[in-house]
Amino acid sequence: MATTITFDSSVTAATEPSGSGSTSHYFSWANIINNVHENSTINASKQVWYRVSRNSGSVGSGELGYTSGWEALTQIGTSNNYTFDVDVLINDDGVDETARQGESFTLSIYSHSSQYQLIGSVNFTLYDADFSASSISPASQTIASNATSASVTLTQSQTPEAANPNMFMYNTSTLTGWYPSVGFGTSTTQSLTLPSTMLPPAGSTSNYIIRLYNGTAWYLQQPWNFSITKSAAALVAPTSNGAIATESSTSSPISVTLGFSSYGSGGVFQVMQSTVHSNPPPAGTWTTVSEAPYVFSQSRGTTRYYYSRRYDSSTGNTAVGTPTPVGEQVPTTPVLSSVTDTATSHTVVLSNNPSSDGITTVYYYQSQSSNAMASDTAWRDQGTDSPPSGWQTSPTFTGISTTTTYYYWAMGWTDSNPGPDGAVLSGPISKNSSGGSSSLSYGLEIYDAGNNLRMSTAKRQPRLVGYVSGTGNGSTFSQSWTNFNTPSPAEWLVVSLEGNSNYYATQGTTAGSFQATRADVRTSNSSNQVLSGSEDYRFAILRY
Amino acid sequence: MSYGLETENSSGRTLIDESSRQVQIVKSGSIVPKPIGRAYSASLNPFRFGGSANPISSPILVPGLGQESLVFIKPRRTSGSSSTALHVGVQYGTTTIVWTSTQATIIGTNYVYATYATSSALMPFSLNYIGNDYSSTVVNDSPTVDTLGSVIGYAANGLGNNTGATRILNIETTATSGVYKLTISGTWGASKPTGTNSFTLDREVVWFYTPNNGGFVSSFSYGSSQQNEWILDYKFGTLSDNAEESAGYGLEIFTSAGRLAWSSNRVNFQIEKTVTGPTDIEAGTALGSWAYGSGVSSPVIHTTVDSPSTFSDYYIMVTGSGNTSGFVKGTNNNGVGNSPHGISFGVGYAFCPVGQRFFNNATMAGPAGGDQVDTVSISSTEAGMSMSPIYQSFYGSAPAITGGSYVSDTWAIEATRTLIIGKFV
Repeated sequence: MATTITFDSSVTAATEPSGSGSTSHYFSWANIINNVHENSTINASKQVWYRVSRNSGSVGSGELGYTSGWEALTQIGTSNNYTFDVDVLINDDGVDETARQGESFTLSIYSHSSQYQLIGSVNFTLYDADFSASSISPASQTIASNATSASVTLTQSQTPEAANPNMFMYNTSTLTGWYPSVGFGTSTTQSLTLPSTMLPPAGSTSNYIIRLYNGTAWYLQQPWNFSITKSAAALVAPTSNGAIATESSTSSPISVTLGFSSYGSGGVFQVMQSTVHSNPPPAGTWTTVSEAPYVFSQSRGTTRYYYSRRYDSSTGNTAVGTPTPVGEQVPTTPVLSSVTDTATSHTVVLSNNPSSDGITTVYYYQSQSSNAMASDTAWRDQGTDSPPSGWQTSPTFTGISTTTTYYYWAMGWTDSNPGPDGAVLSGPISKNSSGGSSSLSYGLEIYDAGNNLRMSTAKRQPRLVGYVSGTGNGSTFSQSWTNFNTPSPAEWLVVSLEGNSNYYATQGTTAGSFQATRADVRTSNSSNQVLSGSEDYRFAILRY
Repeated sequence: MSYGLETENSSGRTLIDESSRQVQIVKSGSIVPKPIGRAYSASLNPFRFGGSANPISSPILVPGLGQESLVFIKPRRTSGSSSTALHVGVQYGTTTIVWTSTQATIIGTNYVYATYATSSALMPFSLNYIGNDYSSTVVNDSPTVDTLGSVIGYAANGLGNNTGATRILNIETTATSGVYKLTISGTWGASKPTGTNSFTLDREVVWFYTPNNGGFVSSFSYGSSQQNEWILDYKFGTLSDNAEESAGYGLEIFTSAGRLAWSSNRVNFQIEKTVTGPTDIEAGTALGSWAYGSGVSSPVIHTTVDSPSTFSDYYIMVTGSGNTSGFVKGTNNNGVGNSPHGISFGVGYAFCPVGQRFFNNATMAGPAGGDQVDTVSISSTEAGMSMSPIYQSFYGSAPAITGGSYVSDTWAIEATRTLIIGKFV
């Protein structure tokens, strides 16, 4: 059998030859030589020749180029196998060789020092971590609140053999990382400029570490830690342009939107609703919100104060918004009850008292159009902090014309500061000046026991006069009825009550009769009428 | 006028006269209107979602002397706040009320004890080409009210009471559930045995219905949130000689025949607005189709109430009912698809609460063409009512028609109808 060698497994392990920062290191490998022949040179001498030689990497001052020597064999029991140790001192220099990322060596075993009878060999690679960076400066620094970058300088004790691009910077505060494009350069001082993405937010501090890769492992050294603090931004107070209540609904509570002409800057944006008016703002719960109009809820008939500010949690600084505060008074909805009258005036009567809330002023409006309030501009504050024209605080309107229908609205109005004044509109109520109640200078009114108006000469009531029914002959005919359309067709009505009838009534203007009209406009390509209606008719004759 | 009392208002219109009579509201109630067409959808209902159970409309017994009731309807909100326009059609039918004696009548008396029963209601419209699907079980009948005043003279003829004008004067409950004491205007001339059908009276019923679903109608848009929030109130007014209330004072006016013509002890329907115009869908130039599109006027009349804030107090006086037109496309045609089908429209009403603006008559009239009937709107601060065609029935399996395949057929087409709104006071 051939003589072979079993090398110590650690021979091929990637090993830092001198340890970080050291300059030399002993390697001791316990190997086995197998099947030594009795008549061999090895057996005769009980020793082998070893040689460790460098395959790559520079040979710096004191560094190993090669080394060799004899190593004695120790028989394992009575076998033909022997153990032997190889002890090698591999010197290292202080030059930063991390860019090399591995130096290659070969361990060879020979039977003779002349190295002509190789028994076995093995390659191994060593990595150098003799980083020369000694410090980073500044170890801590404060940058401006609006800074978009920050620089630190690495100082290296000697010039590295080559630039190492495998540098990684890590922000332990924001958990973000960054590879500087310059890497670990070949100059003794290395300036690194951190981008904005690596910087802390205003008012915060971030801590950083730098790691370097030597080809087989990441290294981190304490002097390479540093921190950056970004100054807190100066707070700029927001400015409100007022609170606006949603007036399209008469419900309560309603939405109140706090608007802003400027949201300020710095810190976070906060708003608060309070029942207290004070400057500075009272104690209360501030809500951090986005920079947009904020919607609160407020009951009718109440006053609320709205505050805003910028707040820096890192410093506790605040910048209170203006005006301080914004007041909003939401009016109570007036409810119309009735309209009382005289011969020349109408007075609107409410069923509630909106002004009892202490903030609502009631205005009244008169129109001969039921559509007068169709547009919001007819009643909402148009920027003048007063109701649009035509509104009055007196519920009484004079100069009433006869035989005219008037429509009335009431509006609850409140002052607000700043922004539009509060306004809420009642439903309309109508009043005909020609009749009803005491607007009549003559006529008849009849009330029931509950004081309900059961008849008024201002009202019209349908009364049954009679019915006409029968079966038609398929033709239109005139139906007589005593006094029909007399004195005026306007107070007579004939109504068809027969469902599916081919007849309908045409009242016309003829005194004493109306027409039972036979509808016959069916169209069919059949000779038969397949959907024939009834020839029966039944009319109710009414007066009203 | 040779006697009596006549009042006129400042416009010269009479409020009381010697020949007309005020109606008495004898019956009031509420019901959920539902479809009556053959192709119905339980969810297609602006009033309430009926679910799969009982999705079709039920008939209400109309009180009064044989088809002489005035009918008033209005929607009423029961919950919620959402709404769109609410659509209702009216269809009359018939039923029979049978009073069966429980005791032999006694000669010389003017009463009889009897039980009360109604038969199934029938709608006088059962053409195969269109058809309807409705409940025939009479609801909301009132034994003590519905037959008051009915003439039963001929029923009593053979019993010695040969006065043809004999009427039921009064109906009252007894100690026995289901047995009533009927007082008549005459006396018995012979004994009527127990169990005899004392009187068989024909009566009217009314279905209040909502628009029908159709196979090709996609524009129905009643919001589900609206459903279950509205119900329909109705009142029936008949001629009677009874004042509703018994105040110790007031004004009553009688006709020359001694009949009560007007009483201040009755609630009155006070008319606020009347509008007259055409509300029926017209036949188109093509057979089997209705008229729509450019040049065709919207068959809608509408009005607004004077007091939108009290919209829920306003009633419509029903002045139109039943069907107005039908359209059939038989087999082997390419009209609207290749399937034969029949469609009918009726007289319909729409109620538009404040803020809705549109009467949504396109929804009401289904396939009539939205551009034709959905153009009527009012301002957002107004409320109102309208009359227009209501899509009553769709039948997708109409048989072939002898002699032809297309029919546009109308009943009282282009009838002038009157929309009357007002309040009861």
